[in-house]
Amino acid sequence: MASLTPTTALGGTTAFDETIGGIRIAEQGAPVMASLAMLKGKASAFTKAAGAHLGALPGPGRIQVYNRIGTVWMGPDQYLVEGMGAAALAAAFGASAAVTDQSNAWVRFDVTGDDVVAMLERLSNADSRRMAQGDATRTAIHHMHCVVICRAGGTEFTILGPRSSAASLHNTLVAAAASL
Amino acid sequence: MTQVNRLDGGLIDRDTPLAFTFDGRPFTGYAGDTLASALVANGVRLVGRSFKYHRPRGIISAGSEEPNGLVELRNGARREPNSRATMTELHDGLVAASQNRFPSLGFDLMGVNDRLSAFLGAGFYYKTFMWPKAFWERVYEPIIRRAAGLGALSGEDDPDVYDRGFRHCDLLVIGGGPAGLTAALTAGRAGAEVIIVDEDFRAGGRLLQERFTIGGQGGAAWAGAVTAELASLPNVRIMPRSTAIGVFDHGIYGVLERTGDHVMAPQAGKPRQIFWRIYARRSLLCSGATERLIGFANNDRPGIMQAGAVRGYVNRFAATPAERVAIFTNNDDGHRTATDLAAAGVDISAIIDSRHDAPSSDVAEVMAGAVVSGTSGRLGLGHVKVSLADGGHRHVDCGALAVSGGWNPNVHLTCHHRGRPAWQDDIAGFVPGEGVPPGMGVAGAARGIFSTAGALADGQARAIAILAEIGITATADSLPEAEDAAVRITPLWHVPGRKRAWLDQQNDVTVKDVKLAHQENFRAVEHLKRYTTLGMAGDQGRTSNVLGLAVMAELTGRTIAETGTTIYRPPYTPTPIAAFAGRSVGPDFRPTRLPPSHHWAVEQGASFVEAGAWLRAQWFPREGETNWRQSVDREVLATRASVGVCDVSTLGKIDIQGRDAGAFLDLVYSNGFSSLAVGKTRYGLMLREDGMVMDDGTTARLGETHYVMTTTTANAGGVYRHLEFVRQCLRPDMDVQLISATDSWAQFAVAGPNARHVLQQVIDPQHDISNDAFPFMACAGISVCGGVPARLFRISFSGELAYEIAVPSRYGDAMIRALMTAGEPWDITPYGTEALGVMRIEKGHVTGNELNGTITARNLGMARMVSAKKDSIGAVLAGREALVAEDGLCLVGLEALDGGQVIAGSHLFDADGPVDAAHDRGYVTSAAYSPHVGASIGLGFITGGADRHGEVIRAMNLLEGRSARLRICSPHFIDPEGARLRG
Repeated sequence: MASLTPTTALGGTTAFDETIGGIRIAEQGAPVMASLAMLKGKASAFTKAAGAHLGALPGPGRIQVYNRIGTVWMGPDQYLVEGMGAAALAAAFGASAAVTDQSNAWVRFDVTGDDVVAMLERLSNADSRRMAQGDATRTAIHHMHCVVICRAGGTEFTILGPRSSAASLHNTLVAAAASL
Repeated sequence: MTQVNRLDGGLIDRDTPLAFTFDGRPFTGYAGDTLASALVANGVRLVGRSFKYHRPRGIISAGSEEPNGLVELRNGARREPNSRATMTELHDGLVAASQNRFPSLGFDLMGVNDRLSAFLGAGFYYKTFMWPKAFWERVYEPIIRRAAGLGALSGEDDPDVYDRGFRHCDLLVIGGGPAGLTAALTAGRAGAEVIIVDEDFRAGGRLLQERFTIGGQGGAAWAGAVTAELASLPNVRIMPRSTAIGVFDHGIYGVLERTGDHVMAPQAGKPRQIFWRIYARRSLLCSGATERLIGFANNDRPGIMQAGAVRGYVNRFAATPAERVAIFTNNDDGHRTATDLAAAGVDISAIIDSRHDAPSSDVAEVMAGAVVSGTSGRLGLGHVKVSLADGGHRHVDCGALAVSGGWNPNVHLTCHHRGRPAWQDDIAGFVPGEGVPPGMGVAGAARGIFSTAGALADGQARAIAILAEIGITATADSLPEAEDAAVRITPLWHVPGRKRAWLDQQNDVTVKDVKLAHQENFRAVEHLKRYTTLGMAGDQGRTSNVLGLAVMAELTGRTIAETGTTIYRPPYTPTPIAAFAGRSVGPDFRPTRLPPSHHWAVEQGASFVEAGAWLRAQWFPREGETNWRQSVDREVLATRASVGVCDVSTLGKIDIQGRDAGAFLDLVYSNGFSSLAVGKTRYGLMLREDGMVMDDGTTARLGETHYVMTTTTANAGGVYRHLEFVRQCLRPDMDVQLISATDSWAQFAVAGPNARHVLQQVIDPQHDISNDAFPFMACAGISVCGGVPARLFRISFSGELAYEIAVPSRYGDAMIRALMTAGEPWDITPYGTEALGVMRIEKGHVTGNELNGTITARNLGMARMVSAKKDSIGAVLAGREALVAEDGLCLVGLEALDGGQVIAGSHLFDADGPVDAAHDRGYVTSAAYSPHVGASIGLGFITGGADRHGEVIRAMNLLEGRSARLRICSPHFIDPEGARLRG
């Protein structure tokens, strides 16, 4: 029986990584992600599990990073967790949460460099200039629903976009980096 | 030609000469020049021909209000018509050409229009060229359109790229003159996030064009020092070459930055222009004022300019429009021009001041109470005729006439939310009135404060006040000393006379046109504007509007305040559509979604089709196949004979979890789902609130509280939105959570009698998928290829024994390759959307073609699926009388007779009888050639269709003039009993 070799969202077996001018655009090949949503009447158990496994729950516009696990606020009682798989999350939260694997739903690009804010200004109406470490926001980039996460104010950001549009998002990022 | 009109001094860099051409003639200017100033320096007065009458025209202004100096820039695909010479930064190699003339600017055959002016007055096209009627469209209109107009587009694709961008700030300062710079400095020193935009390439505004001193240093030097301090502040961003073109909702401002217009061509990948959306908590409009002209006979001759522009050319660009200049003014500002010209050594013929109490002048003769009543000179001003206060006349020699009719505050952006400017008598101009956009303040000349000291103080005070609104405390540092002259003006709008006096030079509107509008009762300002086209050109009447209103006020005997003004809309200055489009052009117009097998399909040479945002394989041509039908027929027959595989990842997948997930599905689907067993899949029909079918698909129950819904590709987004609406708004009490899983899974349909054999090669052996263990409509979580998690659904769109197997998207490419390898013994065939479509029509499955928003479950023959045992969205309104009529439309199959063709979109009529709307029986929704049936077949809706199987009817396609005889049949052309898919 054949064994299956995974590909990255851009379709390669190795992740794309390029520096354009002062900006490095690096695809993260195999992200581990899951959605986490609180079920009705389970606030107490949910919060307790979150405290134990995710540190705490982030508020709107924020990501909570704890033990290398990032939790992004996506909506009321809804979160996107990176760095902890769906099975582990489901086990940790039990009946208090709806968990869905999202590892294959997103393409993740890490963009770093001194000009990153100038680049993001060409892409999204998120106020990336004022974003500090720990800020995260849902936004649109060239018509695509994306999440922009600030890892270090002014210089390090993560952009999550729909996996099926990875090529379009990638083109958009490269064009913006080259246009500065 | 050398720069005959170049003077000493100015803000130009004489060490950097720049070569350019105008109408093919080579010229030289300097860095710091605009195209207009370089033409002025080179003694070029004639730069264009007017819109309607093809009158010779010259440059009037030194700013963005320029109505006349419109040229074509650059060559080839980069040619840009109607570019304002006054806003064009000179660069080496610049190519410019005049427009709207034939054969040359000096000799323009269309100048005959000027002699026909009696027939071409305001609204002429409403009254003349009416007969014969047919001639308007075929003869007159094309001729008139060719004769009128300005520059022409290149007709080629724009080779440059344009960007869009987004910026945020506490305070957006619009305009970099004395008020704007002071405001920005005040806010910047207070620590506010400030963006200051200015349309010029150098900040300073009027200060660059005047000889004022500020705090003992020249105005330009002061502006330079302030700009340097602003640049040193990390919280301030200075955007030169940037025009605020519009004020939109919620404090969003449109700003066009010209990043690459001042070079021959932008570097590869760099934008020519960027259209910024600036999100400002507050804004301060410091847009200054525009000088207006005065209407008098033949006042459009090249060489007649704004007085402020004349001294601007002299002071900033060291270029005089002529050796001898006369001045015509109704206010003190005209005298300022005389003083500056004299200081630069330019000869002044006379100062013609319409005021009887005109001040005297040290530098030239003042003709008090006199007016200019005519001009002469071929292709440029030679002398002006002056009507003196005593009734006499004098001819004054001059190559240029500097005209000052007073200044209009640039209130345009205050009108973008329908603000109405208010008349202010002491400055004889409109100032911002009611309805200024929320969050916007106005400072300096833009609100009628015309002195430099006033602008500095107002810029500071307004900045402090508006920052206080958002909790930022700014302090009032001491301001430098500056001129503080009062405005002294006695309005004069036009000099009465029999000859034509121009108001709007860009649209060729004269005083006579306004009189005609008055005579024909187009007296309201909005009517005046539209009847005469006053102020409707690209400059939005910045030099002409108030003149036209004043003339109308005079004619109606009302004040200008009573007459009122029209208002302005975005964009403030002409803006290329390319800048709005940004990168959304050509193949990048919108993003594309690629299914997981895309790269593999490209390797197979597949032909692709856009399905929404998706790019899907349409068919896979093989060697020897010369048209698509051969490929599609082969794919259909091979699938039905053995096995085929198709990427169906594009179908919407929605993960639904929660204790109320089943009840939620019962509500959104017309049929029941809470009763579905775990490990089973069910077809569902979703209705809109009005009872029409919204979408269909299968939903699988993976666990007690866990379902996964499948939607059609086209409706995935709409269905998800609908479910969220239901969850959040209609039933927030339900314990249910939704999330899209469309992108997460690579899903492949494996169909055909050998489908199970193929799948058994890839599915891990512990999973039994025999017919008994895994019957039709079963589903399960399984693993493939040694432990990769997967989902298997036994569902069939083709009507064959079929499965859909889903693996995480990252394994999609590997999975299609594994399936193709595993299927080799059975000659597995990949098939695309065309074969998919053929097979679903053969099976009678509906898609978006049938679910067109006007179709009910009953029309589909699925009335029994609308469960009466429970409430569901749409169930009540599906029962409306008209929707349950016995003779309603009914889904049927259609088979073409006599070798004819079924054409989708055709309407259906009885075999005999009239073909008209009254006898329309239905229509064809889907059509295909069925290799299984051996004929063209289709699906459609026809009245009473269930009882009409076997009947022969006519399909008429009136658009294409085609018809066909069709036989009505069951929509199930293949295996109506469903034996194959259960096998």
